Amino acid sequence: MKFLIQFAWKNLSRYRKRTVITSLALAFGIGLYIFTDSILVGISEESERNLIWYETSSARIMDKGYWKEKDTLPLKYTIDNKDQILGILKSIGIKAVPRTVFSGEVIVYKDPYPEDGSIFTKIFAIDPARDNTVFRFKNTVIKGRWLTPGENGVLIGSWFAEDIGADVGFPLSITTRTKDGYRQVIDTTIVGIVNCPNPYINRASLFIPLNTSDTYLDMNGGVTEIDMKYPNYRNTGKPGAEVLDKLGPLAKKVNIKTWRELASDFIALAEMKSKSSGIILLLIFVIAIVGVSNTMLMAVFERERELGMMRAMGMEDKQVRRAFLLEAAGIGVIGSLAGILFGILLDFLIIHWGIDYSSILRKADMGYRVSGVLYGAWNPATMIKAFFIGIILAVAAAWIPVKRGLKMEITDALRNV
Amino acid sequence: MIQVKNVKKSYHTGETEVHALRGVTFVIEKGEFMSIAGPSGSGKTTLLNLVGCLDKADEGTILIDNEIIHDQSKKELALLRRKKIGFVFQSFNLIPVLTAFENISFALSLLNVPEKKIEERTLNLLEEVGLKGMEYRLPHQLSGGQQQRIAIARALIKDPLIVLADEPTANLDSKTGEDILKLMKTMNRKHKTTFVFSTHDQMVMDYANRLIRLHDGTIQDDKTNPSAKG
Amino acid sequence: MYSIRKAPVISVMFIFLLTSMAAALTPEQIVRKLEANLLYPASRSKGTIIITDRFGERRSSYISYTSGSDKSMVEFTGKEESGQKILRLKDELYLYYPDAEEVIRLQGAALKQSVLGSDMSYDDMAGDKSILDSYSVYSEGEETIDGTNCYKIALKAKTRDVAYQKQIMWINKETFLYVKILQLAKSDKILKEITVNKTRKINSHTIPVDMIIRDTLKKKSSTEFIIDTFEINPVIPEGTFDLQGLCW
Repeated sequence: MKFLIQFAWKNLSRYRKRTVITSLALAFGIGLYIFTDSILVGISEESERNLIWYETSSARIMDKGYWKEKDTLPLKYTIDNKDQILGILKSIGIKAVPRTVFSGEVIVYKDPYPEDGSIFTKIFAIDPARDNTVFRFKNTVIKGRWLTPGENGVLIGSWFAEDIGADVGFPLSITTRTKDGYRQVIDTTIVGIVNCPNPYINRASLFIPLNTSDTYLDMNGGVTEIDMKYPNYRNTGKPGAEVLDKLGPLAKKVNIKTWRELASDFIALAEMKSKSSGIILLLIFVIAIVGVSNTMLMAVFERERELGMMRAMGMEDKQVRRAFLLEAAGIGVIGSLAGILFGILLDFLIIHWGIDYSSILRKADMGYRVSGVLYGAWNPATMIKAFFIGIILAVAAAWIPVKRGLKMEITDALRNV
Repeated sequence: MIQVKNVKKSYHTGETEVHALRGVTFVIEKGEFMSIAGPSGSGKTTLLNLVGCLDKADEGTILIDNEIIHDQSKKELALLRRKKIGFVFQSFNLIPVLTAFENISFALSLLNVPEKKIEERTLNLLEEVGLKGMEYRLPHQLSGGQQQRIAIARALIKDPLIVLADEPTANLDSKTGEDILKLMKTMNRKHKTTFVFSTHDQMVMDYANRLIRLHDGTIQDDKTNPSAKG
Repeated sequence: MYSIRKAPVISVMFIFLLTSMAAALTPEQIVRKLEANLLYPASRSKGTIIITDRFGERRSSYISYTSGSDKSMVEFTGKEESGQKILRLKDELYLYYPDAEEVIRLQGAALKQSVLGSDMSYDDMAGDKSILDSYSVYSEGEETIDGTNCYKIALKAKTRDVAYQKQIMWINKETFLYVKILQLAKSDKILKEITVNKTRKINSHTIPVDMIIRDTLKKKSSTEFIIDTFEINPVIPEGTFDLQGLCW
C-alpha cells in the first residue's frame, strides 16, 4: 500500500501539467460549488433576518378567528385586552408591541404627484414609541422622520414612494373600512420614507401611528396583532411554550404563530429553491466531472501498455486499480484543496463586498426577502463536504477508464504501442 | 521444469480464424538459454505468452514446476507470474515515472520482501548489469540499451524460474543488441536462470544454446547449438 | 367640503322653519315616498353602463329583471362580459361567470369588490332593507338643485351592515325621486356623488334613466347608467330568479 501511494504520488508529480489541469478543472467546480452555496445560504439567512426584523417578528399573537381569514386582513378579529397580554409578556421578559394591519386604497393626485392614481396596499398601524423594541423600521428612515403618536402622518416604503412619485410632505389619502365596515378616508401627510431591506415591505407598505388608526377605524383600543421578539429571534420553541403557559386562560382566545408559520410562503419557497439550487450544484459537478473524467480517461488510455506490463509482472487487478484510483484521489485532494482556497477567495469577495442585485430584485419577485446587495455567508460544513465530494468525484471519474483498461487482455494491452 | 504438451491456440481477427499454434510440444529444462525463432506470424509471441501465463491455451497443457496452469484463476496466475516469471519486452516497458532503482525494486516490493534486502539486491543487480551510479536516472534519461539492461535486472531481481524475452533486441542497434545478449548469457550462467527469447534475427539466434524454429504454428526444428556465441 | 356637523346654526333653524311650514311631511315620510316610487311589482330594463377611469372609457350593456324588493337579476350583454350574471335574493348575492361555468356566492370581503371595475361595489347592490331600517333620517330643509326644488335629507347609519355611515339625499319634491346623493366616509369626507340627469315617467313611477356615480376621491372616475327601455310588470322568463337557472 505504501508503495502504491508513493507510486501514485510519483505519477502525479511526474505528469505535472496533467495533474495541474485536471486539478484546476476540479478546483473550479469545487470553488463554484462553495461560492454558490455561500450565496444561497447568505440569501436564506438574510431573508430570515429580514423576515423577522421587518415582517413577522419572532412570533405573533392574534385573535383565534383571525388566522383563517388573514388574507383579507380583517378588522373584526381583534385583541381587545392588549395591555393585559403585554403586561404578562413584559413580566417574562419578552419584548412585544401591538399592531393593527389593514388594507386600503391609496389615492394620490397630480401635483404634487406626477399623475392621478390609486393602488391597494397594506397599512401597518404601529406604536411609534415601542415598535422599535421588536421591529427595526426606525433605523431605516432614509428621509424625513419617524412617526409621532396621534398625528395624521404616514411612513412609506422607498420603492413604493418611487413607484408613485411620492416624497416627504406630500398628502396621501387612504380609503378603507372601519371595524364596523363603514367606508372611511384617512387624509395623511408623508412624514418619512423607510428603506428597509425586506422588499415585500418596501414595495407596498405604509405605516401610520396606532392611535390614529384606532380613531379612524373605530378600534376602541383593539389591535389585530401583538408581535413578539424572542431572545434568540430564530428559536421559537421554548419561549413559545412559556408564553402560552403564562397567558393561561387568555391563551384560549388567541393564536400564536411563529415566524415560520407566518412566512410559510417563504419557507415553502426556500425549500423549493433549495431543490432547484441542488440542480445548479449538480450542473457545476457535471462540468467538473466532465473535465476530470476526460483527463483521467486520457491518462489511463495513454498508459494502457504500462497497465498491461504491471499486470504481466504479477500485480493483481485490484492492485493496479488501486494504483490508478489512488492517483485519481490524489488529484481529488489537490483539486479539492485548491477548490476550497478558490471558494474561500470567492466567498471572501461576496461576503465582504456582495453583489448589487437591486435592479433585478426590484423588478422580479423571487420570494426571498432580500433587496439591494446580496452577501454570502461562510459555511465550513460545505467546504468539508466539498473536499470529500471532490475526491469521490475524481475517483469516480477514473473508475470507468481503469475498469476498461483492466478488462483488456494483458497480451492486447502489451501489443499496443 | 516447464512442459508444453500439444498446445493449440487460435485467435479471431474479425471474421477469420488465425491458428497461431497448431499443436506444439517441448520441454524447457532448468538453466537453458533457448531461442524461439521464426518469421513474424509463426506463433513465437503466442507461445511466449502461453508459457508466461499471460494467456491460456485452447488445447493441450502447460506445466510449470509440475503444476498445470490451465485451471488456475486470474489471481493465482498473477501470483505465479509475480514469483516465478520475469519478462523482458521488446519496447523495454519501464515505468516512466520511476527511477532505474525503483523500476528494478518495484518487482520485488510486490513480494513483500524487507526493504533492506530489496535495496541490497537492487544495487547488486544494477552493478551486475553495468549501470552502477545510474540508480536515480529516469528511463527517459537512459539509452535504449541501458533501459533494456534495467528491464533485465527487473526480470532477474525476484530470482525467477524463467525469464521470457520477446524480441529483446528488436528496438536496438546490432551492437547494443549483442551487448544485451551477452549480458543475458552472463546472467544465465551466473544465476542459472532459464532464459527463453524469441527472435527472427540470425545474430541473436547464434547466442542460443538451443533453437526451436516455428513455422505456421508448428515446430519445424528443435536442436541444440554447441557452438553458441557468448 | 360639505359637513353636516359644521353646518351653521342658522341653516338648521331655517330648516326647522321650513319643515314646520310644509308641516305635512316628516323626513321618514319623504323617504317612504322615495322608496314607494322605486318599488314596482316587477320590472325589466335594458341599459348601458359607461365606466370611465384614468385609463379611459369602457361600455357595457345589460338586461335587468326585478321582482319586488328582494329579487333581482342582472345579465351583462356587452361583448367582454357577455353572459355574466348577478343574482340577488334578499341579502344574498350570487355571481355567475360563463367561462368558469361556476356560481359564486359573494360574502364578506368579496362584497367590497367593484362591479366590472366600476364605481359601484357589490355591496352597493346588496340589501333589500328599507333605508329606514339602516339609517336614521333627518331633514336638512329644502334646496334647489339645477332649478329643481328638493328636500334635503341626511341619513345616519344606525346599524353596522351598511357601507356609508352618512349620506345626504336631495329628493325632488314633486316626483319623490332623488336628484343627487352624497355618500360620506366616517370622517365626513365625500366618497361618492350620485346625480340623476334624466328621468322618465312610466305609469305613476318616475324612473332615473340617466344616472352618474362619481368617485369623488378619484377625479377621473365615474360610472354612468343609461336605461334604454324600462317596463313595469313585464313577462319575466320562468326561472330568472332561480339559482339553478343562473347557468342557462
